[in-house]
Amino acid sequence: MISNILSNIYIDQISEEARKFHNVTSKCINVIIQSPVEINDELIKLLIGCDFKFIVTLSFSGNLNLQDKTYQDLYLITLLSNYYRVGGLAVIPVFNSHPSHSVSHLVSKIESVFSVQRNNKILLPVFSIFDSSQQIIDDKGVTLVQPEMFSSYEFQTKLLTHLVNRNISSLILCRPLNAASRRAEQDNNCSIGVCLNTVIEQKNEVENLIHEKSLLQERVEVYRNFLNISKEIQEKEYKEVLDWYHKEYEVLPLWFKRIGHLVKVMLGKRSIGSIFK
Amino acid sequence: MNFRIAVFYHIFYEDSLDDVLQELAVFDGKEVYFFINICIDTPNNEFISKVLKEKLENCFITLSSNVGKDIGAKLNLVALYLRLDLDCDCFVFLHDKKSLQALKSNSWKRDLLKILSTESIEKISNHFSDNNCGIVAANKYILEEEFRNYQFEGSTNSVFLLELMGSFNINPPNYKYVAGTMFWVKVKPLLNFFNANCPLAIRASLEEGNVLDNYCGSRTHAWERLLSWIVTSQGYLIKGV
Repeated sequence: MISNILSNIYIDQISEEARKFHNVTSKCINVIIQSPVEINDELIKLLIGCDFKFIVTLSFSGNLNLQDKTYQDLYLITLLSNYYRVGGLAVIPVFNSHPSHSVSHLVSKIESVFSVQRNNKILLPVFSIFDSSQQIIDDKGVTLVQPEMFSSYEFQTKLLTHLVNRNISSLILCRPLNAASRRAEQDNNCSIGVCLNTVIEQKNEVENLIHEKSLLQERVEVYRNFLNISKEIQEKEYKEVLDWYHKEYEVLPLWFKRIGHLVKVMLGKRSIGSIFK
Repeated sequence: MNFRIAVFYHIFYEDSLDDVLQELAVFDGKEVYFFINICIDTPNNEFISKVLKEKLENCFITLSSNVGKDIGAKLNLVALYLRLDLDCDCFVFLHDKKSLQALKSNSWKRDLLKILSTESIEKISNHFSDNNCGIVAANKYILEEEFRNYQFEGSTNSVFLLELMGSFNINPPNYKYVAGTMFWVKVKPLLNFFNANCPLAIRASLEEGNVLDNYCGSRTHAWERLLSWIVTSQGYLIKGV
């Protein structure tokens, strides 16, 4: 069933490749979503229910308009525990194959959707095709690539290099879902590919350990705060009980309290000896 | 019990895994979807998530920021449920409550979890066979806010409650609610509300971090009450076990 869904909805429509994915549970799948296509119901259900790791790549070629629902879907998808994260950051690569269109608006919109939910643990690396006849307008931090590289394995390597430089790598571990996927697989088998994968995996492991360490340090603060609050609340409760005791009992005259003690002896609630101690 | 159940569980503490699995064992053999959110700041969240996926069938796990405590997490999970378009009869809301700041925290959790014993589930089933019953919770935790002189007396959350009841048009016949947000609820009244009001938009309005309402109120604690009132305002009752 998964393979049917994949072959129907993946943008690259390499059904032969897509059919293999239900067997590839140990690898991460790169789901490429091309504008103006929205995140379709079948896809979101598949990703929510799947066991494999995945990463979503947004690919644009001019039309940068996404519906509000799509942004919300993107947020929900990246919440999933099997979304690919490195060092606690969910990476959402954005490919812009139309350099005359800026993607900064789109990136800002995605960031704002996540920011409203106080989720700042995302990274949106932007990639664009380099075309000297056109100018990229106000896109800062964009990695440029040659047009012929855009849908090739070299492009993915370029992208990877960029990610590695930022201590984040994702796509080489993902099974690329584009026309070059078979070739990528062959290239991965070569020794350089294997070495590169090992380096990246180790880098990821280091990133994850650093992240885990920071979580533990934050946890220490959480427990310290709980202790302080607990002390404050318990001191307040202690004071309230003591105030009540003074207000309700300590103000009573001594003779009244002594009669009370005798009543307790008569009721058998304390011994007569305890009165004289 | 022949209900199709969706369990919504929020995990904040890194040492809760064994307890969570033990608590959820009561659903063995039942038709249940597990929607579990782990706070993204919880150490070891990847391991916790992996074990839960291995041990529980039909299990959807999210990692989200610490906003609105367990209420915010449950709103995320309700949004996910809506997107999956499943057809359940009732939800069970749970979380790994520890309330470390409180003296009675152990007994709180024990009492709240009464709703997960086998005997209680039988009673809950009977309660839900009554069409008027919308929520079932532990008797001890069905509390009531006192509304006098146009405010909720003695409640630090009064201002937030009044504001939110106005903006979401929530008008319950009384102010009974389930404290601690662990209860069983029929899906219909809850989704009537959340289909009209996006749970993620509500979550966005909640406070970040481990908010308490001991000294001043919060939207998060106001929604703890409103989650019951959106059901009772549609004519349903809260019953106890």
